[in-house]
Amino acid sequence: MATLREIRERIGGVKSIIKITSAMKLVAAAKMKRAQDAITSAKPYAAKVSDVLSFLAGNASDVVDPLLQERETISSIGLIVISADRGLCGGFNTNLLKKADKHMAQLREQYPGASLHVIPVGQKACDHFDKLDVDVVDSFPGVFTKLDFGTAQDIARIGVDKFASEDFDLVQIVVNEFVSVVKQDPIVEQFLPIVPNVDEEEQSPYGMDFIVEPSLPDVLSSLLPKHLNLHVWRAMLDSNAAEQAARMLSMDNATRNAEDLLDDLELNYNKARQAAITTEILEVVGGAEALSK
Amino acid sequence: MVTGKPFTIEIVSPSKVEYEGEVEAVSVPGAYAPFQILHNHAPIIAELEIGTIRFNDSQDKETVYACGGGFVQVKDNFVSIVVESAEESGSIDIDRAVEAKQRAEERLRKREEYDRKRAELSLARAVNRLRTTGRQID
Repeated sequence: MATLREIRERIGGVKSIIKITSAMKLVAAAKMKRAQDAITSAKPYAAKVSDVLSFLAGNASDVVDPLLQERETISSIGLIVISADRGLCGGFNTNLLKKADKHMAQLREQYPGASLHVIPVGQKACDHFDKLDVDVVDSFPGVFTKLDFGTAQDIARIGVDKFASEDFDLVQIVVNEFVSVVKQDPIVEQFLPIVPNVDEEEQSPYGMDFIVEPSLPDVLSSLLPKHLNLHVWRAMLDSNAAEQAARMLSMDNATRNAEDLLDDLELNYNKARQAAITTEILEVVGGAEALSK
Repeated sequence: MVTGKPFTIEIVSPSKVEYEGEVEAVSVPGAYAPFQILHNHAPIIAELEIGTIRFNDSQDKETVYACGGGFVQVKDNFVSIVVESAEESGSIDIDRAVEAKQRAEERLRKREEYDRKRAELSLARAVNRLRTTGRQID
């Protein structure tokens, strides 16, 4: 059995662990709130873009932008993998990277002979693909410390350029979806070619009464990359919120585990203390008895 | 320009609704050419380039925004200016803009084919930001 001193030291250690994990939990909670606010404030922009896009697409059914066209043969696939920059957030990164690896294996099976190219976003994904034998087109470590729309533009542009130059025939995003505070799911989203989500039923509410400048196909082809920038941006915001939620949860668990451990240790400490006192009393009593004889 | 007929504009960027209010005229950097929108403008969807948005706010104070590319939609005297970035001239960080300009020029000098478009665009953005603050550009 551990000595009193050892137990006391461990109790001290566990107490400081509790302090750290509960502080991290509070920080993550505050950051998550901010991340969720960022998602909310991106909504008006997203709504406007998709509104005008569906109007344009509805009126330009004869115009087919190359970004909307599916390729018949897929010989090269780009994969944008968005992880977090930091750890200590439970299975957040592990699950995502596992999903990415699994998905890549699936793609290799589905499109034999196609080459895979990765664009990792976030420190953890960059580290992961550094170690693997895959082609990394460009990496974006440390982007979540200061989230900037410019980064999303840069990432999207790589995808668009490579797709346009036919270096990629298919681009997908692997990202953790923020389902709720207690649930994050790694998912695969199609990035390029763009899957039109225009409802056939829901034709644009204002008909064809807009002047479109410079011309419908021009505006459409300039708007589509913006839609893609937004897609990456939304994925990054989502991942950020999900990361903070995951960290909050795992730190909460860690705090609770540490508290359980502390209870056990304190019990052991008291037992050991009691045992020490009993032996001492026994010694005193034993000594006194020996003297009185 | 004062017409006495106000209408509502909003400037929306991916990070937030930057401005919302009543104005009597607003100039936007159309892809064809910069143009001005007044009361009862015909419904239009126009592509916008990197440039400046100008209007007088309700206190008749001239307000200038540096904006990234996007589009403007006018409908029933409601003007939505939807751009990828919008910064009010007073809030532009000149040092940062100068830095961005230098960084972009540096990258252009290296002539890496793949980075070229990206550098050109960020140079255009930085120059536009500086121009909006009324600074001389060397």
